[in-house]
Amino acid sequence: MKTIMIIEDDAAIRDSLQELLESEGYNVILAEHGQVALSFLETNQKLDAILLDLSMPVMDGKTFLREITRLFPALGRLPIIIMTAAGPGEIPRDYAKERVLRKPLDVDELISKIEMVTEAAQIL
Amino acid sequence: MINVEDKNLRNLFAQTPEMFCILKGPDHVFEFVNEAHIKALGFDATGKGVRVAQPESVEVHGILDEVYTSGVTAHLHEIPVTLGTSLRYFDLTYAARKDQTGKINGIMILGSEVTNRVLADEKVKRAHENLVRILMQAPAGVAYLKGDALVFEIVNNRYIEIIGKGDFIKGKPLREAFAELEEKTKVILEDVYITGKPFSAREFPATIKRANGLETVYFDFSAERINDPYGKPEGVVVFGYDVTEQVTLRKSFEQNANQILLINESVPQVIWTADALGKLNYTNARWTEYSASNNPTDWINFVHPEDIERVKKIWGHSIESGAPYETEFRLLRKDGVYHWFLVRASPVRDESGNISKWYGSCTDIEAQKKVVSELELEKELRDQFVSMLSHDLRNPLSAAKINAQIIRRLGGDSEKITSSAGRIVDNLNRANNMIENLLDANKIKAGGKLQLQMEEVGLNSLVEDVLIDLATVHGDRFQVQSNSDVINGHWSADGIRRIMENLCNNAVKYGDERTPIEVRLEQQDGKVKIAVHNYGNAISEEDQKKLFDPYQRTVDVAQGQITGWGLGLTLVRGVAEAHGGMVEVRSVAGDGTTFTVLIPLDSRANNASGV
Repeated sequence: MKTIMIIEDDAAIRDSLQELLESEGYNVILAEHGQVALSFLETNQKLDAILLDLSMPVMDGKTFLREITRLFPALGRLPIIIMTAAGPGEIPRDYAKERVLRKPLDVDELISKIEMVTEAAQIL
Repeated sequence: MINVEDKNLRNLFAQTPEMFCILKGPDHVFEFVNEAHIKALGFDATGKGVRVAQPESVEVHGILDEVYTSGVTAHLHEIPVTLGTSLRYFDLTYAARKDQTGKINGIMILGSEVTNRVLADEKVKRAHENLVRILMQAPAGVAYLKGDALVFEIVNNRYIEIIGKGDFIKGKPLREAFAELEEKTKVILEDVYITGKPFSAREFPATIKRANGLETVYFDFSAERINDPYGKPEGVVVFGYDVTEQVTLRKSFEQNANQILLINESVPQVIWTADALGKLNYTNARWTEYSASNNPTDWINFVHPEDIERVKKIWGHSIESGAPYETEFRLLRKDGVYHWFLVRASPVRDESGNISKWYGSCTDIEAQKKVVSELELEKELRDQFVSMLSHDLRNPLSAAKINAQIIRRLGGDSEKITSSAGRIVDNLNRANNMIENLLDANKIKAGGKLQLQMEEVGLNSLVEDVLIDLATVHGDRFQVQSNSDVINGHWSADGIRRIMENLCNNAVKYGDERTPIEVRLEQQDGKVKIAVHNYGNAISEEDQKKLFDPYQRTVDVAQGQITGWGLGLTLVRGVAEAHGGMVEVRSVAGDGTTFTVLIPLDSRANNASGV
């Protein structure tokens, strides 16, 4: 079973995504912001993908991306899909289009992107 | 008896200082000459005829002949007589001398030399003539008023000119020549004559009757009495310069200066002047009221410490270059509060173009500054609010959409559940589009450029997709024409979609519903043209001008039932411009309306966030 971590401060989205992904057969771990997610990664790094909201309190998505690269270089290949309500300007410049989801999220697009990145990671 | 008398007479005349001689016969032979005669002639002419003794004295030869012939006594006054080589003057009396029968037998001459007197008189006369000539030509007006009636005896041309009465005054007494003159002025001249005390005045006003009527003129003038050799008054000499022009000019300048001063003191601004080196030398009362300072030079002490360096630099630059001075800075009010001022100054240049002074003003703009900063703050808050609200709205939309989609997936074969869930998703998307449009329009309104993700797009298929979606809502009214089956370029697919949706929705809203909506795609010269045309009422030229401004609706539309926020065309323009393109409208009665978007084939270079 593949494990997806959802880092999202909005409880309604977090819980909805959990329900959706579990019904799709994924194991789901929840974090309400970047700091919680980093703490989790200190003890457990068995993940297949991360769904990351950009705008969050305590530690936002951009900071999280920077910190995970710094603290866990071994996770360099872990696919991280960004979820954002903001325009293209908010997304890190060289970020692959395949790993960006615009809010409001489209379930079909979300599932196909998760499938794609987790399969690709497996092949690698 | 006669001899005795004759002898006595000769004795008397021999002693007298007057010249005396007796001539005898028609040849005027000197029979008797006295000492004075010998002295005058330089020799004793006794026994010689006049023509022999004084052949050069031709002036008197004829007169002697005449007296001898006629017997009429001749009194000669200051007669010139040549003696030797010099011309001398004499007062002479020639009287015929008769014998006992009454027959003329000689001439008696009595006289005195007056050469010195005549020469002195001539000198005086010549000096007088010279003086008059000089006075006549003098650049000042000169007049000589003679006697106690002050008759204008001599007036030079300049005097006639400045008085402006022509020759009329010549020979007239003062009170006749200047009947109109103020009494006190006439008295002044009469007093000079009576008392001998000279008078002089500058810019002396006088009312004079000229061709055009009474005029007030100004003179620098002086009057002085002329005395005869015995100290008795003879007349008054008047010298005058016409200074009317200068006085008028000065008076009008003084009046202007007074008016300027009055204006300076009545305006609400601080008015100041500075010398060429930038040192302030005048401030109006406003400055004292504001700062409680009476000293124009210490203004810099009132400038806010944070502004001083900047102000000194700008002011210094203007003084050096002569460039007009304009800046804003804070000045300390007497109650310790700083107000913002708009400060301006312009240089005043002299005839040779050098700056002679600066005129400046300070306008209190504290109130404006406050309003502007409040407006800016309000705008910033509003933008933040809109952006935050729309950002935050996306989260509940997102959650709702996920769940609607979960329901749709769970619905399985139940058509009712899937279609209801589908409608929920469609409406959530619609709400999201509104938020997106509002955000983007706000950005365009603020002068910002939309940031779009440019990617490779096939225009024909994209447009077909949009039109299929629109046809499900509006019916099959859309017709597409293209000059190429495949038009590929680098654009924002989302952006092109929004352009198409907005233009087509407008065409449906405002077009004639019985007619088709024509979409035309053209690729040409590295550019792509997307035109959407509808039939129906034309848009007035005035409305066309503001069509692309945010929140604008044409009058007809505003009164009708058509809904929307009036952001559509603003977005179309914003998206077109973010592609490095443009949009234009052509609307003609009977021909319908066409919106045309023109964008380059590759828009990546035109958008900052382009990949």
